[in-house]
Amino acid sequence: MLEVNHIDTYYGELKALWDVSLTLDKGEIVALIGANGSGKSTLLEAIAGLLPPTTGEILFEGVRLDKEPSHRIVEFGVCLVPEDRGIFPGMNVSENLELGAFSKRGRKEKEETLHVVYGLFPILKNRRNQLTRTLSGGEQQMLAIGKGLLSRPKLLMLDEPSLGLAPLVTKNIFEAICQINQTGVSILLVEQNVHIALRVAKRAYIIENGRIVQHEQAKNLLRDRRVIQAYLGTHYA
Amino acid sequence: MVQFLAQTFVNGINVGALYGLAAVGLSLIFGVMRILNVAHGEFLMVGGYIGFWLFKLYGVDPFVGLPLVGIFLFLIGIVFYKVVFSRVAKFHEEVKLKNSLLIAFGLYLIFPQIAMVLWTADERAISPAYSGQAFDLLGVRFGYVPLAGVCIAIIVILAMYLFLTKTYFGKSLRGTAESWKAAKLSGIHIEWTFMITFGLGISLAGIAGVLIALTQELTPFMGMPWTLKALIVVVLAGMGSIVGAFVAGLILGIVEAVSAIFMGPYTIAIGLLIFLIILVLRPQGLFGRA
Amino acid sequence: MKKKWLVILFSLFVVCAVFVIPSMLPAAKKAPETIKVSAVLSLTGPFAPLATQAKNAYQIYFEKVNAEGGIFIKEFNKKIPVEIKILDDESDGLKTILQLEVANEWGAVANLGGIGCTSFEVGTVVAQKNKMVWLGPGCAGWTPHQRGINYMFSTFFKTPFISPLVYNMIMSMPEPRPKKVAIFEINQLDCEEAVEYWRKGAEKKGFEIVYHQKYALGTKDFSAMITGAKAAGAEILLGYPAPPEGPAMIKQMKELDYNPKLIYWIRAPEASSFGPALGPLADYVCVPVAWSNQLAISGNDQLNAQHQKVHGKLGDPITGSAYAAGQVLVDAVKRAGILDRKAIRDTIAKTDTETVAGRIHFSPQGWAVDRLVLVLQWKDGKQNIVYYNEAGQNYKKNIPKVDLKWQPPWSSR
Repeated sequence: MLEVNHIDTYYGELKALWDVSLTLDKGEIVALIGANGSGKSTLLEAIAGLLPPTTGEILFEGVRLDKEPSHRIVEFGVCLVPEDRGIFPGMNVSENLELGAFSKRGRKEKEETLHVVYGLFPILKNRRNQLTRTLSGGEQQMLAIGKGLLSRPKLLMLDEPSLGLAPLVTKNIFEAICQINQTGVSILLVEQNVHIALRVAKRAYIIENGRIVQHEQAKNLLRDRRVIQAYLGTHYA
Repeated sequence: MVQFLAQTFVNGINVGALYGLAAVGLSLIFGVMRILNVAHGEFLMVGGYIGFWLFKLYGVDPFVGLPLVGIFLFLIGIVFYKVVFSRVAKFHEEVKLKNSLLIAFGLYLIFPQIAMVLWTADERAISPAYSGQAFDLLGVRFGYVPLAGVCIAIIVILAMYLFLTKTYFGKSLRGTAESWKAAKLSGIHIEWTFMITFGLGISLAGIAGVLIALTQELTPFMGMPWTLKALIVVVLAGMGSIVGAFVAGLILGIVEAVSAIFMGPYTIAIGLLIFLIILVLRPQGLFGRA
Repeated sequence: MKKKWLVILFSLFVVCAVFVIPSMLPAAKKAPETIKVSAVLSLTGPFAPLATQAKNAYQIYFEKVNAEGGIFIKEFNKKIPVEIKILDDESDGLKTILQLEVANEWGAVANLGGIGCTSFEVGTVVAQKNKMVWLGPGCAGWTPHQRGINYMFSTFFKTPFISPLVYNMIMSMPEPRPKKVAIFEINQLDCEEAVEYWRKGAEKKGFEIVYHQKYALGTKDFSAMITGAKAAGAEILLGYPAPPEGPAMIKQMKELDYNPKLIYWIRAPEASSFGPALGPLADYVCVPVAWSNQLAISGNDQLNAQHQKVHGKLGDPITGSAYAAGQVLVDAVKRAGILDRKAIRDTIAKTDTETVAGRIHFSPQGWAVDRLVLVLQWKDGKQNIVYYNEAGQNYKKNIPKVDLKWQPPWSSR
């Protein structure tokens, strides 16, 4: 469904991605694993159109995304929930969700999707008139994912959904992510918490210094000594 | 004395409503786009002169002409956005602020010269037959024109407020103001949002210009003083707060009017004094968030 | 070898003879192509509405002079056209200094001045330093003339003469006459002076000042002052508003239902745009001026006709005053016979000439003695002459005068 072919990306003069390729099939959860600054977020931003690649191509269901502006990419059904959560802190929860459905694609089925999101995260319904900045970190992350869902994505890209969250909250979030995936939404996941990422993902790519260095089934990586040492830390082993 | 103070209050509100209206457009453009348009007063001047032309050449009543001026200035705003400001709008925030300041200062230098050619340096004013008429209420005089100005300012700002909080598009404007990145990822076409915002802000300036031409006068050099007043009000209110800007405008108007009783020629420094105090004590403004 | 040295020496000698020596000898002076005259004016900023009138006048006048071939200069025994360089000081005293230095570098023989007293105060000092005449058609200020600057001349009237004039005008009317005076004082030097003479005059002539308030240039809301004057029962309103303040003041007076019998304002109502900007609200406002387009003095026909042709309206009061300044300068340059700044200053000081604005001659301090002053009153979009000073007695038959009218209450207009 998603095909990233040999892309290079620059931040100004600085090259951030080197000849990166990646594929993702319909209904899959794929994890991107790498150290800080290795280019994980950059790759997601490149796909979402925030930082278009200079060379290579990005295909989504056969359509080239790399020449499209980001608001058009949302219309194709590709949604990024960025690391800073991409929510509007000065607006209340229901306004945030509404803006999540701003695209034509999302707006058509806004009411139904809203129902689904409230089902997934009931707390958001209770908090719907509350200003987003007053929510807890976990609630904000739920809102971020919910807001992303309202654009009716076929592919949901999540950048560090567990960042700064307590283990229990993280567990809830990942349960929700699995549920979302079960409704047919493909997921491209960037996660520091490699342990949990590899549990939910089917496949994973390892990215180092802007280059893909390894591509493997998730369960194989969990057994890979090198990966365990580099990313999981000894206490997980 | 009570009557005198009440009268002064009313007068302060009359002027303050115009300050507020002038500031709202500036605040909107800054809030959404992070562009400090120091040429805001120049667009206000253009609005005033267009209203003057409609009245003088075609006999259009200024209050009828008001929506026409609003629409026309909206279009002018869009043209200026497309031709000039869209080029800086895509930059990083800091670069954008600097470059847009330079561009706007350039416009501030050019506009008065063009206005000199089109309208000469003579002072102009829109004075329909009913200008200056007033009624008496408990010994306090209310001029019809300033009162209408206050009402229009309130209506426009209320409409603005409803537009921003109740409509989908308005919400997307607020969203863009909060975070352009999040807006982009929500599928908001921010180029388009910027363009409409700029048009709206300029349109508000134009409407304020007509109301000013009705109660005061137009000269090619009125732009900068009005930009400064608007800036004081915006700082007073806190950047990006629409209703706050209007209230802050009223506050400035009333403070100036009342202080005129006691301070004579030093009244004009009052605004700047408030500006300084706010910047030192509450830099986020009265209605802004830290 | 020696021969070679001789050749070099000889060629050096030739070079010297051809290029160096002639420039050291006192050459027979060649006539310049033009007589350079600068005009530093406030073309932008709050005084632009007035200074633009002066610019138009200078242009019309020197076009006329040049159409006749220029000014006859005895030294060169021929007519030389005038080249006028107009420089904008943006209504800012510092820029006035800057632009006067530009004019000095350019080589102007004299500078025709602007309108605002700010430019007068700082500009004339530079004129003195550069020994270049400043001949201005504006600024009613008296103080600038008291500082021993002998390169400054003004064809305008001065505050000691125009301020008391209002009382004379009122006294010339039949009883009952208004007695209570309100003064709106703008924070500028010439207005401060005017207030002083208004005070003295009131004491002498038996008027009572019941309200006096100061305000700053750029004020937009005058209601506190208007309400104060109304509460004090002032019947005569004296003021010195800058051009952009006039319409706002009048509208606010009507809104606040303040009904003085006489509004006598120096400056703001002078501009021809004052009436059109206000419509019928401008009626009855009085302003002292140094010229009017209704004056039937020779030269005014041409000025009015040309002004109408170029600018689509008759000249404003400043126009004639500036035109007169131009006439004084040309007359003085002609009499000087040489293009020397000092000589031109000396002949200007001895000026005694008829201009479109009446006879002009200067006191040793450079102000116009016995200057003709007219008081205009707005009515139906026109400025009627309603009063003139003693100097006007000589021009009685040239002045179409109508009677002054007390301002009726707003409610009955």
